[in-house]
Amino acid sequence: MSMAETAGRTAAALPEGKYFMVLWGLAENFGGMTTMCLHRAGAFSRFGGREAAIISFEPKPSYQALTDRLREQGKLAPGTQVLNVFQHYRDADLDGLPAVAQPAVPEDQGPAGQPEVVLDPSGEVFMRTIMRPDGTTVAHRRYYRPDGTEFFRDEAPVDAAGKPLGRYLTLLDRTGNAVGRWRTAGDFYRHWMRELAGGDRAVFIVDSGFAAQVVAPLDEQHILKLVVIHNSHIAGGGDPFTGKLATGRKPIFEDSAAWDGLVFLTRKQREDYELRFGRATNLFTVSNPKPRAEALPPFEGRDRRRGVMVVRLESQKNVADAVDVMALVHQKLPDVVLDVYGKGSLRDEVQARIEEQGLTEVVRLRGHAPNAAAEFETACFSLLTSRNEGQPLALMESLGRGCPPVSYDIRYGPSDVIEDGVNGFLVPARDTAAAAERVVRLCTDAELAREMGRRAWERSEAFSDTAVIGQWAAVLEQAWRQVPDRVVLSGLDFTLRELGLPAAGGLEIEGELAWRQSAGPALEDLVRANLVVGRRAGGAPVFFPAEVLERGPGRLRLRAAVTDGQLDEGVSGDNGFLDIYLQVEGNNVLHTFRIGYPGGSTWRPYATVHGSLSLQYA
Amino acid sequence: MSQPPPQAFELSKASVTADGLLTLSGTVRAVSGQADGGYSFVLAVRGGAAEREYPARTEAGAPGAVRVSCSVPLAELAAAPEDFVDLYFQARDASGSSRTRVTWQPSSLRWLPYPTKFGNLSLKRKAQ
Repeated sequence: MSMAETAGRTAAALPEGKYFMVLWGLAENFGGMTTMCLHRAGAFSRFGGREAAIISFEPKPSYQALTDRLREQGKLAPGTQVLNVFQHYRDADLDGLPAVAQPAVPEDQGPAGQPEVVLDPSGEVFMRTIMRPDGTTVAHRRYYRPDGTEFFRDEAPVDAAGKPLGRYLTLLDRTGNAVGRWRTAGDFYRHWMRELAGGDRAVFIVDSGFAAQVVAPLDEQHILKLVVIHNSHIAGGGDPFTGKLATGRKPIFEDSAAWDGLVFLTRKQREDYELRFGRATNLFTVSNPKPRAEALPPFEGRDRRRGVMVVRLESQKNVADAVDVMALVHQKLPDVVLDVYGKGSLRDEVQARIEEQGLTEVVRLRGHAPNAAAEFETACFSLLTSRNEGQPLALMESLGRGCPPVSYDIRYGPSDVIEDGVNGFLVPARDTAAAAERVVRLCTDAELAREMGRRAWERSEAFSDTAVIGQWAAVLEQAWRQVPDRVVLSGLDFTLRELGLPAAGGLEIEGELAWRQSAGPALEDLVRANLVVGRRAGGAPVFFPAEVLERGPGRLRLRAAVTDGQLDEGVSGDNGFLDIYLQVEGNNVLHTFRIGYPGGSTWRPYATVHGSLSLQYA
Repeated sequence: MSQPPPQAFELSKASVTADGLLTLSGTVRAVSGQADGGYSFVLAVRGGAAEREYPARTEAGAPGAVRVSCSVPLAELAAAPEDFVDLYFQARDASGSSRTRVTWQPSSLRWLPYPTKFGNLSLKRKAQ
């Protein structure tokens, strides 16, 4: 069925400026993050009226074959440019640029291994790498134009003892003159980004966590930087209030003030983030877009005894639970089936579970199907039993084709788009019995299934391309408005000067917050601080405002206190431990410090199990 | 030597500063008048290995009570890092001295402080 969003440029919905979608690289086979990045670039042009280019930093000689294929498959819009920093400077005319004066690169006195060569599609040398004998450390890389001249050199010399002497990245014209020199790769990449912006208003939207480390330090008044949080911010989809931050994106959250926008895909994820860390002006929510059926597929075309899952057969997706759900459904409705589209490393394991339960005719693994989403148009229900998600696209596809979903209420995504009992069913995670009961209802109550399907399709309008570009436009307009209020700072730190432990319980802290600020309104005039009590077994932390004792340029002296009663308020019985933090917030600044004891390693007061005061060294 | 009746010491607060000073403050409600030998705090390495006494400062408090405080430079503690050090309040008069353990106010208390293995501040629920 054709999609509602047909080709055709709309009036510019997005603010004026140049637009770039940032990936680290573009692999031959990629997943949802890159898919969404490419789609967004096309949608910005078709529905937002602004061309957007994809940019990347990986050392690759050409994307031509890949982009040709992606355009054929409709995954890359015809007008969307794909730019790469090395491909850019390989083709760039550098001969008119003035030579830069720079000290000579120190002589490399380290051992060298065999050279490795990367050719371009024409068979010309693109890159020659000299590794150290360990096979993992790069001694230097030289990059060549198609005519054989060197255009870029990346050197990491060491002295005779093997001590690193720094990194030197040099851009060369055709005669071998240095026309640019950087000491970190990030500085080189950001130089290119500034050239791309060309002094104009420019927006960089980052999808890759790795590329985010390149973009974060870019600081220009005419540039906006936003990063899309594609998955749970918590490692392994753990507890939102106590779980460790996901490793790959941890630097983003720890330096969130560097961004004009942290863009969450769902309202629920942003809420969880705010409940744990606090609020800031640079936290936004924008859904991924997902095209919907132009019209509601006819209910009469649906097989009332068939459900569909479109899912990777991987641990996170927890397809085993779907098998268990269908085992329960089968006891009441023996002719109801579930078709599972997708592949993955757990295929054999899932198939074994199906066979163990005698469900080979009930749960059918259909493998990969190029247009599996169309299956939602002829099914009576869909299932989602994942452990965690960023925003489950299969759920959006199900809604967009009028197929009511039965979904675990997991973090994140289902509760943003399903109104339980209206356009689908939400059941507690791992509650297979509840899920089975909802499937049975959809298969036995035609009016319920019809009405829910209609409501599901209606709800999907919220994540159409048009709607999502509208969300981006609103976010970007707000982000531009906030540029004058953007605080640029470094070295934000809290020093605990005194810890008080009242005998009646609770605690008091006094300390100094310090930072170095390079732009924006004075942080000392707008920052707020809170003593935060975290509950280790789960539940949102509780914030207690701190008192400002003194304000000065780049520093605040703070005091905060909490009583035993306040510590105890609302803490569930299974929570035996509380952890103490100091949180600071103001405009785009949001940071949390774990509170220890003042001073370095020393004797620290603590309470024995009998409530007596003792000291231990820590 | 006979033991004098124990002086009722009530801790108000224990605090520790970045320069390594532990300050204890509280109130003594004398059972049989002012201890003429004065008050002190004793820091004793658990197991009886060593102890050290720090005289307390006093000032008049509410009727029948004396406000007591004492500062202990933690760097002076002669104890090994694996040791635990227990704190006592000591009152001395002509008939001898008495010690009581310095405690939080256990009857009302629900959460007790402790340092985590990384040296951070946490609280654990008090066993009922």
